Amino acid sequence: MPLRLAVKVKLQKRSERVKWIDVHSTEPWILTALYSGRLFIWNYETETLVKSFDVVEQTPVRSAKFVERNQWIVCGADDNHIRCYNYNTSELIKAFEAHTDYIRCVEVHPSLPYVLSSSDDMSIKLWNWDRNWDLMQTFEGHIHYVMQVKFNPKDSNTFASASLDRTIKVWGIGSATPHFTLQGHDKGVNCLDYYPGADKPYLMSGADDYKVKVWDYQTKACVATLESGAAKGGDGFDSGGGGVGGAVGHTANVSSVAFHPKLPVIITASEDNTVRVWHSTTYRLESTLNYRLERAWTVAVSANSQKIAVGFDEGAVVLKLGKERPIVSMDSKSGKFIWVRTNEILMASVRGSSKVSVGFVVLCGLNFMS
Amino acid sequence: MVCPLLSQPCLFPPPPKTATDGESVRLAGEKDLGTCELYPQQCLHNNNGRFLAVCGDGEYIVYTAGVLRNKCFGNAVDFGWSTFGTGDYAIRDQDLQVKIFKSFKDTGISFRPSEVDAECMWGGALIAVKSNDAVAFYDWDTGYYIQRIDVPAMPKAVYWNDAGDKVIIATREAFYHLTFNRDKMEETLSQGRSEDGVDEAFVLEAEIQEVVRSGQWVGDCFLYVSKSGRLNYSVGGQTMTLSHLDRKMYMLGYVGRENRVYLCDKQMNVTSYLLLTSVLEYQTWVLRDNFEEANAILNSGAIPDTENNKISRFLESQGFREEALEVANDPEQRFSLALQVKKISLQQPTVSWLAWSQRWMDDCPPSLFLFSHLFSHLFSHLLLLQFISSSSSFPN
Repeated sequence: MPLRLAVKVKLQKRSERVKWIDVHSTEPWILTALYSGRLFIWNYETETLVKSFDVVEQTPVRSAKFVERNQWIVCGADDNHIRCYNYNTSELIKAFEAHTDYIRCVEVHPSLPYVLSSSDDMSIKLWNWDRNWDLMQTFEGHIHYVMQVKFNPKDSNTFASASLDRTIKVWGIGSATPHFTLQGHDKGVNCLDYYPGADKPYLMSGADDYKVKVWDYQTKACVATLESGAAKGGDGFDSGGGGVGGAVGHTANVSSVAFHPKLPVIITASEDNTVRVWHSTTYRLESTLNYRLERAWTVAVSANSQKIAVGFDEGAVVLKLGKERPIVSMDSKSGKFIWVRTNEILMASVRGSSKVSVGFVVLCGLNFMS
Repeated sequence: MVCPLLSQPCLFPPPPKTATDGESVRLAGEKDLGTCELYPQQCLHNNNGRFLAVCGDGEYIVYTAGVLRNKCFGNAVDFGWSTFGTGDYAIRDQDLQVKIFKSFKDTGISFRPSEVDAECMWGGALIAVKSNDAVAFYDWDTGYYIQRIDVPAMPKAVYWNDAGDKVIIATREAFYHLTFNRDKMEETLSQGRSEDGVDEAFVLEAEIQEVVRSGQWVGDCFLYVSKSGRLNYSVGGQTMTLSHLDRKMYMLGYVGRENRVYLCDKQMNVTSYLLLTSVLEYQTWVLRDNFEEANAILNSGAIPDTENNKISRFLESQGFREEALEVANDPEQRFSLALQVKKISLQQPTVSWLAWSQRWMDDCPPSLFLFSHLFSHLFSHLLLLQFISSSSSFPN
């Protein structure tokens, strides 16, 4: 039975090729990094351009991220430089040569002043912006381009890297060699993401073999492969058109993957022009989306809403998956209410809240993202 | 005394101010009850709050609300509780058949709604099945078709009051307040099933051009959050705004004992607003034309004086001008009401002449005839002069 997620387009903007996309967690903004060397910030509520940055003339910017705590954007481009802008003032905070080849990915540490960068020079570097962007550490071990790096949200001392050498490596800050290597893809790995929930130690990767693999990083086993003809369940519905004659998996290189932080879904983007939404427990295909913008390159999820953003050859779209209405029910007689966060059921009470001496009082407004 | 509409004691003084409207509410006893085998898209308490149903992934599970012990489960696309029986619910399965359960047991009664192009099913005092442009209602005991209500825009939800005689159909563009005549339904159904349902089981009371995001009945008052970001309540066809909300909020519910309505946002930040049960009860009694009960609440002191003008405006809107005049303590409002009921003498001790003259400027042409009478024994020559000088600016 499908999840019955309604998919609603919030924004659809044509532009040059979008190589990276990011979603702001509090402002209704997306950040797109373009192959033409520019950055755009779009407001998806008003559908207007908030800001644009000319990073480098006609040189692809392959990765860009918001650093919300500093009102910054960091980006890496094919001139081997990392740049940092203030998105309010548009001021260039810092620009420096970070690698000896194209920069494929920049990743921001969730709490410490660290940026990771990965490059075609096969290295991963860790930078500290509090020490004037000092190089903290270089991680070497991959034998081909390093396409993406990602901090583990549940243990931010570790991170994973995806490389065209067909492997995924998991590293620890302060350790020169990788903790372990995951092998299984038949071609280069382009992208990865960590499962954000506390219940599963999972990691997902997408590769040029058209496959998406889900890994258990504790047992180091591949728990599922999302590919043509092999996914369990099979009969997903097709809400966006473009489903490929019975096949459920991607039919070209997988360029970006993401676990949704709230919904039980996996979102994958591919050079077959589609974005696919899968159930993250059953791995059944839920829907195939095609917005006729050619190849899909990048997917980002919003931490605080059900929006996702996708970048294509010819532009970007912002989608809302399902309803954002909280799934909650209150018993008016007792003042107790029960709500659902993905598949966890939680309870709290508003009664007795006025008494100061209640045993443990929790301030509501908890951030449910781990 | 217990108000039957709210099933809560009504004669008690207003509570001390413990929470501030619109501010974050501290929650007590938050706990994780565990994970669910399915990904719920719906989560619903039953009528007495002892059971909780979750529905999603094509299945449903009913738990005990306290510790999430499994009560029953099965296949369902939609799930709805009955307003009345504790374990009474209906489900709509993958084959789009509606099945009725009583006391958690399958009654064997099922039907496939043919009156509408069914999209979704809801519970309540009757089983509701909606299509793009209509809601059809069915009886819990027999599964018989009762009535189809056509609406111009897509229905989003139905909200029943606890007594099961009033229902709101909320659509994408407006909401409709209907009353349901159970006696009529039972009388018709006693003669057996009819293809045409029950004629005029529902009567449209009011249509309000506002989009309800979420709502709840409290007595005869419908409390809701509108799409335009207001916390309103609608009583007797009149809408009152409690607050303007600064962000997208959803109604959690109204807790009578706390006199507060609780809202949450999509991050589950909870805020609350004061709404006195006594005021809601008073208004409920007034709507039922029972001034004896209504005045008992008023005279008990359960409603603080600060609410008097709101109550007065409510009474005025319901056509009870004399009663409104007695309650009002705002001079302008009293004057306006006094003009309407022509009880001018009441004005004497309360009206300040400045407020009065301003009021008079607004109301001047239709009520001019009153003034000579008024002036002859109420006000000094000085005021009369003022009156003449200001009236000269009006064309006659």
